[in-house]
Amino acid sequence: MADEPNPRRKTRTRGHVIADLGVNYVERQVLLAGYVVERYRFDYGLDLWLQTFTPDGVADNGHAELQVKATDKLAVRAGGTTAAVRVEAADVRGWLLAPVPVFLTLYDAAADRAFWLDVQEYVRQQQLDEDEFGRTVTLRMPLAQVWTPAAVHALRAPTVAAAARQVRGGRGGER
Amino acid sequence: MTRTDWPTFGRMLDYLRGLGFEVRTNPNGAVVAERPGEETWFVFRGRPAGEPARGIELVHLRSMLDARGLVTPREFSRFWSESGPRQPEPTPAS
Repeated sequence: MADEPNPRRKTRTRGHVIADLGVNYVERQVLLAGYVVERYRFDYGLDLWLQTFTPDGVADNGHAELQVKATDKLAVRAGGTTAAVRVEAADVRGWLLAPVPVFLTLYDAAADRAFWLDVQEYVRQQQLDEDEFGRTVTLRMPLAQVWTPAAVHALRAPTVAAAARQVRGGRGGER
Repeated sequence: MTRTDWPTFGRMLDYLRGLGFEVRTNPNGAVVAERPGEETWFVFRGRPAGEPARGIELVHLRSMLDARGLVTPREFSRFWSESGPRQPEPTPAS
């Protein structure tokens, strides 16, 4: 009797390929900047954590979370200045609750490049109302914000400042 | 995004307290663990102590505590492997 394929057998799709390429690309730009990305892969996702360093090579206390989306075809909008990125509203709500910056990156597989967005700052500037989110939210990724080593360097200061604000300004109850 | 067979969030904070960190909750709900007199702190998403720690938090703790010369990765691995209650794997969200 011929073996029947296991119906739960997984297949590797183009989506999986570009998702991994996207993570690899985002990580590489961080490494070229001299910083580190820490990753933890769990059953159905991947958490990335940007660790920056002082010019002397000492790990900063601040960190940021990175999210990576990938696409084979950018959905360019607004005269070519932004690309639409659809994300789960539950994810956005979680990112807004993070006490550290969350940078959403969009990997353009066709051009092998990526763009980035500070999610919390974006929601603040666009004055988005969480109560009006549907199941998904479409964010506009600025195509001027290219994910490069220089861009990663520039994110060090706000990342460290955000952590320092939590430590200095948020004096609250002992746990 | 978490597993239920490893350290809880509360156990992770207890571990940091044992290393001399002071732990507090900010008015905005963020949990800060700070080592007095040193430029070393961690900021976590606030949540109940019984919830599992996030894998990425544990990974970051391991590397940062090592970078600060406080705990070697081997010592930290002992904490990680010895801390969690054994429970079934959660069902991934569809």
